[in-house]
Amino acid sequence: MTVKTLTKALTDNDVGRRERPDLGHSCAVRLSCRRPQVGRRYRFALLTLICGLLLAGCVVPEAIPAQSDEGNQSEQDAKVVAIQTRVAEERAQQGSDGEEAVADGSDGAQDQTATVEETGETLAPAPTAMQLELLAKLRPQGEAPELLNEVWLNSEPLKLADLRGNVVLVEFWTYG
Amino acid sequence: MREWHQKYADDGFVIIGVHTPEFRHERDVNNVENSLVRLDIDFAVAIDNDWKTWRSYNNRYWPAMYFIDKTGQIRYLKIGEGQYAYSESVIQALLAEPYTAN
Repeated sequence: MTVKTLTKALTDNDVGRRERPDLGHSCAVRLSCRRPQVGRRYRFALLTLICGLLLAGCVVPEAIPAQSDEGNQSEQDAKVVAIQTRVAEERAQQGSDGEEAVADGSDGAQDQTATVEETGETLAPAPTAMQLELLAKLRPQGEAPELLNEVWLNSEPLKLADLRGNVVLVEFWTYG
Repeated sequence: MREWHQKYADDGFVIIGVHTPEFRHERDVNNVENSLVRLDIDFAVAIDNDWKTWRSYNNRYWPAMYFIDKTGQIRYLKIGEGQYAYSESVIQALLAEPYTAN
């Protein structure tokens, strides 16, 4: 039964009307009349809880950082020592391998030049993954037959054989 | 087509229009020349009035595009209009394909 129907039942009922003055206010339902009291208790409990949390918040953070600071400090010290050791080692190595390092550098430069010379014919950037996928699908369908025409417009007569290394699009068309 | 020619000519892309006439008036080279001006076509056009190249390709359609890779192999055949975006991606991929001259 809902509160509305309960209220209606009580207000329609004589008993309900008689009990109403006893409650000291206009509320028709007993249950709702208790709410102020419950509210007060609830508010008190909430306030206590908040105070408790605040207190805990003030006390605990002080305790925890104190511990973690100590831990961090020792860890940091260890790290600093380790880094200092590494730097010292590297410096020592650089000192002894200095000449070798310079020699390696010049070798590397020569290697690079050689690579560029080898691949000089394909200056186009490497195909992307998508292009590689597409190229795999575009299987060779046989060598393109040579162009057999003698009359040309916009150009001297062209032969496919002379166009190796180029991508060629041959389009059959008619203007009409 | 015209756009591709302008866009990729410097990357090693060559367009060749093979003009194979369907009707008698299309055999007149002057008419073809006028149409090139009218359509603003500046790529190479072969006049295939005797259908030599058409027959050697065993072609049957207008328009038909044969995409030929750097080694001279036909890699893609596009018949008819449309799907220009895909055709352009084919050109880009073929241009990116590594090639070493024999």
